[in-house]
Amino acid sequence: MEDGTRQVMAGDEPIIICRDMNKWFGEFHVLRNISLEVMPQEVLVIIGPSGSGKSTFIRCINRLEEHQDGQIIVDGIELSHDVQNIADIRRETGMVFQQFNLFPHLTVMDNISLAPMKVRHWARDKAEQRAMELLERVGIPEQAFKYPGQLSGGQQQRVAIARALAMEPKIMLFDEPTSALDPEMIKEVLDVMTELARTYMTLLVVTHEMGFAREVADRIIFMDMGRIVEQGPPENFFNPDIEHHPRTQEFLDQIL
Amino acid sequence: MQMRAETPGENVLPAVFRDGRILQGIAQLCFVLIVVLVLNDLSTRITTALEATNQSPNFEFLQNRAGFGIADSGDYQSSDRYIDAFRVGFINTLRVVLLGLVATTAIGIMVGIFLLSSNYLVRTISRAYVEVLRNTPVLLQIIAWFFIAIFALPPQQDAIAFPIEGIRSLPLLQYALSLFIIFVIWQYSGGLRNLIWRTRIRQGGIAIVVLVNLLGIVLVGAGSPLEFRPGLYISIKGVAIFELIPSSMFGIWMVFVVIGLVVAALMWRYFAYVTESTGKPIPRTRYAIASVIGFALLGWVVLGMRPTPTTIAVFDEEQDSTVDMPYEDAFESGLLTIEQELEYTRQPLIYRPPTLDRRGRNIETGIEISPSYLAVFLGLVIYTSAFIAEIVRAGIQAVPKGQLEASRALGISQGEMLRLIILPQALRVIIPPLGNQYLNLAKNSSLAIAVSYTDIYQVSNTIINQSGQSVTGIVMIMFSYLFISLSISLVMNLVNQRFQLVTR
Repeated sequence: MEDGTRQVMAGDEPIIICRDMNKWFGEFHVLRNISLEVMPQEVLVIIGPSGSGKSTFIRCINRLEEHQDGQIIVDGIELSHDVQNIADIRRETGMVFQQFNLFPHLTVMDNISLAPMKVRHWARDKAEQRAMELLERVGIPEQAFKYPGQLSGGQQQRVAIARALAMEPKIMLFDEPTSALDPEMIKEVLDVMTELARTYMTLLVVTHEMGFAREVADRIIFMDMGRIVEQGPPENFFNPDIEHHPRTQEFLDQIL
Repeated sequence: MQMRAETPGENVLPAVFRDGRILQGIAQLCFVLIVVLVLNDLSTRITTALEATNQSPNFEFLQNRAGFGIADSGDYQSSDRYIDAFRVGFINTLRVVLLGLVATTAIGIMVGIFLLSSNYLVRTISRAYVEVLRNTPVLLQIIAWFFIAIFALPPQQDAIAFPIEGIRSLPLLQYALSLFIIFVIWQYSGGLRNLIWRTRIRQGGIAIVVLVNLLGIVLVGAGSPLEFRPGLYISIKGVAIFELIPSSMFGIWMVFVVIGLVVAALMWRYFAYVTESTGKPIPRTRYAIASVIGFALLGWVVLGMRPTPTTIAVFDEEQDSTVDMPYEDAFESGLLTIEQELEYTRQPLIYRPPTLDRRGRNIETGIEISPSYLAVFLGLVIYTSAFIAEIVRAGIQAVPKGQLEASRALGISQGEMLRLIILPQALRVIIPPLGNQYLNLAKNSSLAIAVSYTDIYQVSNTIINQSGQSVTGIVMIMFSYLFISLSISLVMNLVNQRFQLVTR
């Protein structure tokens, strides 16, 4: 099947380039020859069964996991053992985790303004003003001076999104952001993510939310056994009339 | 009451006695009554028994003459009162406990961090340290240290001395220049954005400079001959260290130091304000330290300009009479008494190396630390540090991995991650068990009796044996340890409150 990537910005350089990337956990080959280009402002949704390597893949992009072979270039900077490059890339990418990972000893406001002050060297006023704007954007400005332990799961995840956005990243990585949430809180988080997609930020989302994938994604990547099995725009991917790779078909039959 | 009362036979007890709260109250009342009766009986028996032998408990005996000597006693004499002996014992316990808490915390934190090291050798050695020390009794360790002090150390006349006495030539100019070069390398490389090159230049540059100096290569200036006199002796009689005695100038010098501290505090707050309002990072710790050191040095130099008397009356032993002689000559020839030197010196602190008296037995000047003290101190500190190391390791490991990942994903640096994210969360887990170990160290200090260190327990034991005032003595020991333990608890609880998390 042909590459169905929507050309969001025709003629632009890809913002993420992976070439023949391989990774092993000991003997276990988690990522096999991953090659992928992501264009700026593209919304990429990665789906696949558990253990298919999709979380490991996006964690490689900001070096929370180290790849052993191949190349990853983010915004023109190659990821290697060069600590300066790693620091530069982390400044350009925000990440949202399944378990939120908010700092429990800091208020919501401090959670959001800490990194801009310490890493980008903003004045406190500016950082807090920005934090307040972001809290309004994710819909919980009234929680600014509470601690994470006093918020619901959905609210915590929205704070985590605001915290990542505060660094003004070019790319946002979402690692199963709704998997630890109660069903009724999933929607509030997905709404924030949908709103983000409309602002033309580059998003890489690992999720099991097929509704979100269908509505928001520009491209869907299906991974299994550490390989990219199939990719395409959601209208093709979820179209039962199109012939899929047998493994994709099996997965789709189970979830749809 | 209404529901149950329907069945006849169950209503034997009035409703009041079926109320759980009242039943609990009655049970508690009975218990208190029994305890009071038993204690009352016990105290009557003890009082009667003691009265029969004419030893009824009182505190008046404390004013009587003690009549026994104490080894580590400062200015205490055997002709002093019991209360003075008791005070010496209490101070000796405090000397072990307070210094011991500081030392064991420092060692414990260090070993705890080593336990988590990625270096195999460091990790394994610190693991062995912890396992050996926490699995053997502390009493054994204290006695072992005492035997090491007695059998492994040389007699006093052959004491290990540091630095070794003599005149040596050192290239002081080169040392100063080397420090300056290191400073320049550090400052210059701080501007490099590439962290790898910054580290390479810093480590490489400093290594070269240090190596040149260590190999004794003299490149700049000639060596200046310096006279070395030992400031530290280690022998079978313990450790003797130099002392620094505040002179008449000390008060004025302290004014300079205080000004340095005030300026440092003001700078600290001002730079914090600047960082908050502009975002510009300022190395305020460095400036604050520089301020304190700068003002202390300035004070030293200013006081150094003070004129000394031109002539001074000293006692000349050869002529067996008091003679007037120039101050400098008197100072050089060592004829000045310590009082005169303290009065007329230009320095705020006088350095006095340890010296022996004429018979070569006792320390005349300097601070003396007895082998008993060392044995108790080392035994307690090292034993407790093994437990603290485990507590610190567990505390750091209790911070979820996700916290580190979130900090890294935000680009927060390694040092700031440790200071702002890991430590505040680790301390929350570390502080309560750390307080328990502090209490253990304080109470274990009573094992000092095993090596005859004159702590409160040992001294009180002697007092009890001599005076027969066992009840009074034990009550006083109890209250002394209670005082120390409750003080530690109080401080640790205050610290603990600061680190608790807010939930719900």
